[in-house]
Amino acid sequence: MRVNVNNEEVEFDGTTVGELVTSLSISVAGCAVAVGTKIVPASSWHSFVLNDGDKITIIRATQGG
Amino acid sequence: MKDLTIGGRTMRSRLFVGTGKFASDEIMARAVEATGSGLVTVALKRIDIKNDDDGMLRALRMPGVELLPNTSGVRNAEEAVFAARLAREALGTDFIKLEIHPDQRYLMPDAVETLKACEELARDGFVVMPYIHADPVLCKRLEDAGAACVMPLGAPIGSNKGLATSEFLRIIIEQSNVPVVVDAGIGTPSQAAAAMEMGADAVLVNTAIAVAGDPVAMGRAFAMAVEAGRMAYEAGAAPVNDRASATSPLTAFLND
Repeated sequence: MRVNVNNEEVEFDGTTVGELVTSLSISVAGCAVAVGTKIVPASSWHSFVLNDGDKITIIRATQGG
Repeated sequence: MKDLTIGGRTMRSRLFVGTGKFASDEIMARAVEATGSGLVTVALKRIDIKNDDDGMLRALRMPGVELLPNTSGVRNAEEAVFAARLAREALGTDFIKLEIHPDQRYLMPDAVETLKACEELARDGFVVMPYIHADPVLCKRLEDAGAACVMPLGAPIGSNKGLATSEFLRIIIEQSNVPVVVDAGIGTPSQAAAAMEMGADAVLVNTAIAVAGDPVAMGRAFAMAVEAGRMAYEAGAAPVNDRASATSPLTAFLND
């Protein structure tokens, strides 16, 4: 499946947010995921099914005041 | 000293600190520790999926330190609400430092959008800590909208100009029914102490610690200043007089 993650095109094997996150080499601690403007709680990552072309935002805390 | 409670949480220090601009995660962690702060702000960013790094969060995992995510980078209320919900999911906290400053030059907070976002976030169960101009009317409106505290600025973010808004901070402190946290612009420990002596409930400091020659020592200096300032406020300052008032007996014992 082909989706857009943080403005990067990503192709991965699978259909769910959980499978997408696993396919990316990222640490999931302290991350949050949104598909479009819908926030997907971590408890639903493995049941939330994506569609081709979905825009996905993955954020984490960083330095700031 | 009296406890400070915001959103049901008793703060371990009246000094809140930010994590921006430190030279390294290690210096940041040591400086935060030196401040004794229990509430530490973080921003949110989109992760770089090609070069992921979560070292900063690992460095901040310290006992007694709670993270306070901010909404920096958003341009309006709608984006702020979205960012707050992402932050709640990412960090598992209802606390949010609401900041909306679309103007890049002075980073002045947008009062209209901040009030709108505060109403919505408070309804949604957030502990809203809004960063705003030192506007006493806006502070009351935010209080009515459910803000857990107000965070008026002393001077523009990162300017280190101190309490340029002091006359308005005084009015805000006098009128507020929620804690007043002076945020932004505090450049030296003496300015932090002045805010606390004025009756501010807490201060938030970032740049002045992060870019100091020795951030760890400066963090400690701020901790001492905030404690001294608060203690002085609670002790009750002596009145100011126009004329001298002798501290020693005035009997002319050499010439009688």
